[in-house]
Amino acid sequence: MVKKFKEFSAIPGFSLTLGISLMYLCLLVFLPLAALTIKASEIGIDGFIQEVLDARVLTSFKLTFGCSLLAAIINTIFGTIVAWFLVRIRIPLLIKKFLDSIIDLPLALPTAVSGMALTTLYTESGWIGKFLKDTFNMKVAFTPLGIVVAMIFIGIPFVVRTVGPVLSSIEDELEEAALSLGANRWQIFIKIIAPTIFPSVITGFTLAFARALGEYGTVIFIAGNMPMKTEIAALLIYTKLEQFNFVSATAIAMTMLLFSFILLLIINLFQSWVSKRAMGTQGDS
Amino acid sequence: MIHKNPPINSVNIINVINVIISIIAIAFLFIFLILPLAIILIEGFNSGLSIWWDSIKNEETLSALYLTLIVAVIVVPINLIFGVLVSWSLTKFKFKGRNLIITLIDLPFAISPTISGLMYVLLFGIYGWFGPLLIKYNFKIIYAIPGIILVTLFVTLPFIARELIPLMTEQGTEEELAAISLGANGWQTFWKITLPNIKLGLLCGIILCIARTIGEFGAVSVVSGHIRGATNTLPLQVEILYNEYNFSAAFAISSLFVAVAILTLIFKHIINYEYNRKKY
Amino acid sequence: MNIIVKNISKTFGTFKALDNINFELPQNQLIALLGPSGSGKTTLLRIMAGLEEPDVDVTIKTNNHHQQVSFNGINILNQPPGKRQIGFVFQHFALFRHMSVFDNIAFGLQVKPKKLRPSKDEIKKKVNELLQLIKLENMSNRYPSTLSGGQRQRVALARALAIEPQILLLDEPFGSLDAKVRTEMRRWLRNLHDALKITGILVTHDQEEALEVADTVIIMNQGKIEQIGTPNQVFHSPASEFVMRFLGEVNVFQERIMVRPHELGIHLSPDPDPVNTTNSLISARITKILTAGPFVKIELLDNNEQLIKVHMSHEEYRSSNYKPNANVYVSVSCNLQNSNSNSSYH
Repeated sequence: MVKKFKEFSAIPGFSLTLGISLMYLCLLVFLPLAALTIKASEIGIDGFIQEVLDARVLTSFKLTFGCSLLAAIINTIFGTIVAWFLVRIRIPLLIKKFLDSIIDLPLALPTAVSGMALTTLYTESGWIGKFLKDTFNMKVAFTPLGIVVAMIFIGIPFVVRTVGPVLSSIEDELEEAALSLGANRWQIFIKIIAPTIFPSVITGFTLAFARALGEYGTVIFIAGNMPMKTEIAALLIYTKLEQFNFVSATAIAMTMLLFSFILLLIINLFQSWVSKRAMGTQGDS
Repeated sequence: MIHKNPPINSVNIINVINVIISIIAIAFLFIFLILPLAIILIEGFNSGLSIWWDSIKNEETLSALYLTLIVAVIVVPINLIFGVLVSWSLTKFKFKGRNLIITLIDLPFAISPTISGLMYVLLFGIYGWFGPLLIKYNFKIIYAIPGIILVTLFVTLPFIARELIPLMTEQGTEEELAAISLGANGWQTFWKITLPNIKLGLLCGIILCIARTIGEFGAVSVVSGHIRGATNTLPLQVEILYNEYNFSAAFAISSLFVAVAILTLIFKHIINYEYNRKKY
Repeated sequence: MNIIVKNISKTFGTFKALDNINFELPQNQLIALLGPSGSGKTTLLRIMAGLEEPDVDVTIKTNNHHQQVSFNGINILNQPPGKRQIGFVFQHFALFRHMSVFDNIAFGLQVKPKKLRPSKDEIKKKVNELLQLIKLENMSNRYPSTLSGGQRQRVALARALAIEPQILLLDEPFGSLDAKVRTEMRRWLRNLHDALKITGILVTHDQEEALEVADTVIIMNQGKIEQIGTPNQVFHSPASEFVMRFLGEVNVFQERIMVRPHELGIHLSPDPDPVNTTNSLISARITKILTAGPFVKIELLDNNEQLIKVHMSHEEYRSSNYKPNANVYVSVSCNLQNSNSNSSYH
């Protein structure tokens, strides 16, 4: 028997709701994506490579990827620590609620506003910038380091929000069982907690990395935006557009987009691999 | 809890580790989240309330605020309707291609704001696909308000659907089927059964959608054209003021955004708390 | 004037959940659909309620009476669930969690089209009657989450009854209740049925429940009906080995003769009763005696180390002197010889 497209349901409204949703998605998501892809294919492979290998473009790619990677690594380390702190350490409830809520601040604040705030803090006259200049003779704002700071800021929620729930879902019973079997706390961490949260740490890292790669608003304030020095890819697209250089803008955008998709694909494959492995070892529960 | 009855000699080590973790976590959150929040409020108000008020009621600022609100009034309801419709179709029915649709919904999250803007320029700009057609009918999308609305629709498309899909999947279809077997039609089932059950998630999605709509910067920046008093939204106005070294005005407006962000976080917290309380 | 189910099949992917179901039963009965999980009983119930649709056989589409779920002569198969005049009680009750008990019960009346909808006072009167019926008069303002399992069950039933259905369908109505409440609810449902005289079909996997509560039992296995009959018929004259095994414990002799544990007797000597000599006795050793319960359960092993289970009354047990490890002889009680002929299969 041929499998049907949709299983029977007594609930009405399928064609209506799916129809309107698909139409909306087509107009708003699919059509613009098609425009970009077709524009990119018009350039041709040679033209595409030529655009991407342009020194200014290549520098901005290196800068964007390098800063994003560094920011994502820092976020992974500190995000996991923060998640551990929020989930496992007893602190007054009010403080916990406040800190837990503020984690989402980078998602709730307009990127331009956060960019301005960070820049003000990290310039040589700012609270942190002055301290860093006086003690370490370090410049942050208007250097690649500033870009990293902005990317850390916008990536914070991703690691904390993926690791936190997993950390809190580890049952006390599991750890008590391990304790009763004679494991010490270090062994419990290495053998029980670390393997459990590892997939979520990787997912959090990838999400923070992907977000940092595409970030625009927060970064452009603190970066200084000097070509060949502190110009990120998202800004270069903007600049090329202002010069009506659609070919170059499209080539950069398409490269970034492909990379984001590959990252997303990796997370999805990784997650399905993890859940399959978990099913295999734990059986059905 | 694992803190229960630990062996005596390990208590100190555990406590020391806990203290170290707490210090690192608090320091990180303080430097990266609390200080930026504080600096906005301090810079916004340090010239006094009258200057703050003058910066807000500046004509250009007010027109930017007005435009931002208009965009929100159009964008949020459209994405609300879409979010509810698509969640209904994805969670109340089983059909092929569900995952593809979910991927499409998630796409705007994964695409850089300037790329989002670029895609719409390639479609509706004067050299874009529909450029000649739009010129013929003398209708401007890019560097005009329709473009701002379109990219904002795109950027905020996932918010409400993303809140509702997990919630409605978890709630299943039994209550709806019960209503239908009792003679309710689809509309009655939605209003009387589904909507009351998802209202908290819906509210959460709407609040996140509003916050993002009024705050969107990158994508809007690409398509707006920055025409003062005409196509400047509030975040763009902040940028302009900042670039003109009018810091106190830029931070005064920012303090408004901080207020909205804090409200959003509080709402989100309350809603999550309510939801967890109901669940257990 | 009866229930007719005709030519109903249902396939999920490659799994045949229902394989051409046909039956016809008189109304006003309480009918139990009994079978193990995966036997298709819930699917059949959901098809009757319109929550699932049967496979459509293209060759018979011209004749719309070929495939039917009819009640009182009207084929309801092509009607939407809300128009079938069916009250459906869900396994997990599916009470509307944001509505009070009163609003839950009133729902079916309140969603009727304006022309058919009773007035507010009429709805109130009707709901109060139902609350009285389910003995929850004082709980009309409570919310489902504050009710016990048995109370939720009764609210779900009242909600289904409010629309005055012609037929009541109950999916595992006692499945999510604990053991004590289960037996109470069973009796209550039976009494309710006797008072209302409404046709009811309930799905269950518990043979004791089906035999105790129903007028007619439909036993299903692997998408097919194995037997339809009164509890007495299906228990004492099972139509198949499956029914025999499903309705209670059985001993199998010579790989084909099936005897229930209570139909066996134990004798200390090989020749206790001259009447029984036609039936060969089996020599066996007692391995276990369980006396806690309404009857005594004795387990024995025969010479081939095969397990034999015997049930007897406490009275009979006390009158004899059976001990573990004693060698005894097992026979089929003479007064059940006749009915046993039905339970032998090849």
